[in-house]
Amino acid sequence: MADAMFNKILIANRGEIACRIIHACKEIGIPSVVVYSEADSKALHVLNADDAVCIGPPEPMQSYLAIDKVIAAAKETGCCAIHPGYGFLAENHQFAQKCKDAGLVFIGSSPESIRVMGNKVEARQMMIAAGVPVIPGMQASAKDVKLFASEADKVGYPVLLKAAAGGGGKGMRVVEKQDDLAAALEGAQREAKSAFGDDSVYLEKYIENPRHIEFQVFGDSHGNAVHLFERECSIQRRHQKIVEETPSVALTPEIRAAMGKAAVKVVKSCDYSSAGTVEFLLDKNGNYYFLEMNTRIQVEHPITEAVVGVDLVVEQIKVAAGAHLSFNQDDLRQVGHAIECRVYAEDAANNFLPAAGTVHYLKEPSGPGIRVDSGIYSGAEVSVYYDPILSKLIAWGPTREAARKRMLKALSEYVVLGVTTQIDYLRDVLSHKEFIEGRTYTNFIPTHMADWKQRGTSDDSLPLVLAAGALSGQLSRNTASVFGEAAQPTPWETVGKWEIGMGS
Amino acid sequence: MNYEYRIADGTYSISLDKSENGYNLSIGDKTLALSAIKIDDNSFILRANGINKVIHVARTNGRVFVHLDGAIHVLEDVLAEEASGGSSAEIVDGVQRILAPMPGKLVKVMVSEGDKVAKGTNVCIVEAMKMENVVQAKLDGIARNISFKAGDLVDTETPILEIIAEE
Repeated sequence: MADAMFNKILIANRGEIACRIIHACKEIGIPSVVVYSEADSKALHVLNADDAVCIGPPEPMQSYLAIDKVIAAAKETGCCAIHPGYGFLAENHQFAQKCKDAGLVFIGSSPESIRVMGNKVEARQMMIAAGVPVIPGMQASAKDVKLFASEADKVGYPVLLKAAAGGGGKGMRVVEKQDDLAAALEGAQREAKSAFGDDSVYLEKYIENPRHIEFQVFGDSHGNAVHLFERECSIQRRHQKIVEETPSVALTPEIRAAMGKAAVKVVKSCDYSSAGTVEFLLDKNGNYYFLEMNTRIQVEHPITEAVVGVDLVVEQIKVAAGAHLSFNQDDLRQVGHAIECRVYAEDAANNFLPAAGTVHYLKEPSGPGIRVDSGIYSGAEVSVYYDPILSKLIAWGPTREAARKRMLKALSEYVVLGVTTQIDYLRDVLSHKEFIEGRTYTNFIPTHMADWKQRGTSDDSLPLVLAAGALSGQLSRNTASVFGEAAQPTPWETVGKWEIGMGS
Repeated sequence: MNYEYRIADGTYSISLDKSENGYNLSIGDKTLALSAIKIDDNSFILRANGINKVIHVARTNGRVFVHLDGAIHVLEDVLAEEASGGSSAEIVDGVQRILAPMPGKLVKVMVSEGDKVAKGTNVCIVEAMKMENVVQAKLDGIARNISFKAGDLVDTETPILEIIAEE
């Protein structure tokens, strides 16, 4: 069985993750086919794949989320497996089931394990049964304020009221003391009703200023399950991760071992058979609580690859084809430190409004320990229809500080002209004293970056910037390698002296 | 040759002229000697005061993006604007050019060609990434040159329409 392999794989995704999967396919010699929307006919994944099928208009519902069109494209092109990437159909158990029904291998876990983990209440109950710590609180929603009061006494204040149908902070209230409970409950129910049409609210212990720690896990169809250590993803902007790293400075070997063991329990409890991620909250006393399991390859998987030395996407493909995991727990070690920065097409100086347009020029950084997973090129169009992630920059170093310095250098050499990105914002996050000292909590961005401003053009750089503007018009017209009269190898003569700080 | 660029809130007039070994850049009464070596159509090395800097540039619609030392500077070419009679500033000579605040889809245009529009009137809605942005008239005037219709994709550089001040 270990040698059985797919003859062709369809990739049901776009952007950098589709390119990442194509890369894995090429490495192991499997032809790849991608699907694309009308907005993506010149997207990088279409250019890189061996074959591409246009499946509809730009709107995701009519293309990347159109299950029947994706499956038809796989059948038409003779693919026998589908890799869903992340987002879109990756955690859709009905899609996984339909692949199976159509005789296609879904490169991911079973439809049933995806379904269970996608249901927050069921997943939580399963974890309690398996002995994995969850945030203490109600098992189901309630209406009676007395039930809330007794539960709050049991878990201890502060507590968090949450909409059962919720998400995005709507219907959420932190309650510090019993006197405030009744009013907060009414407010949360009202907000839940108007946001989700359902006023069901439940209560759990409020974890103050936690860290977001997740464990990469892997299972195969032969009952093997391992974890590949943690990733810390506490740097988030409105619940969107922007910087991730591994190892986490917050974990002692003892906590790491205990969390790893719990993560493997999660994998085994749902017979999970692919790459997955178990998310935990870690409080300041070293207590950890299961949050949820992501049943897909994660955006930030490259930092695990950098530190553990495995190729998670290749492993996914092999395991889906029936192979045993190519490593066991004792084979796995963390070597050095890796950091990932997500590069988004958005304007950090303007409330992170999404940006779009043409990438007029792109130059990606390189050097020891640097990896770029990208979905763009010079001339690429960034459209408004999809997630604004353009690429991910990963830096590895023997220590956290070495990785951080490599990341800063790489960010300063990452040139994207024409489409606004938040690369300068990322540089300031990585340069922040609190980040340097490892005090990365989920409130990092609101606490330390709230009054962030784009640095203007300094007096020192102004003359060069203006000269560059004036010279820019001659670049494309000028075919000679040297501007001006100086065609000799030593054009470097300075006439006069430039004084820094000229007034404006 | 003379150039005039706007960067953020400042406007700078410069001249850049060929010299024996490269260029002389003048800003006000200061002069800087420069030389440059082309790397590709978007990149060159600029040398001044004995230091080499790799600079990347891209030009589009009267703007120049300049990448220097890890930062991007956006220059607006004032002379090119004057030559083409337009400006990216919102109101020039009694004309407001309505630009999309972000690239996206035009959801709705609430005015028709020739309509009288009061200051503060909502004139169109642009949607991007599920967020709607209502664009308003900033002066009393007449709606003219409506170049897009609902459903069209708009970028941040092409005016959707213009509001021309009433005489």
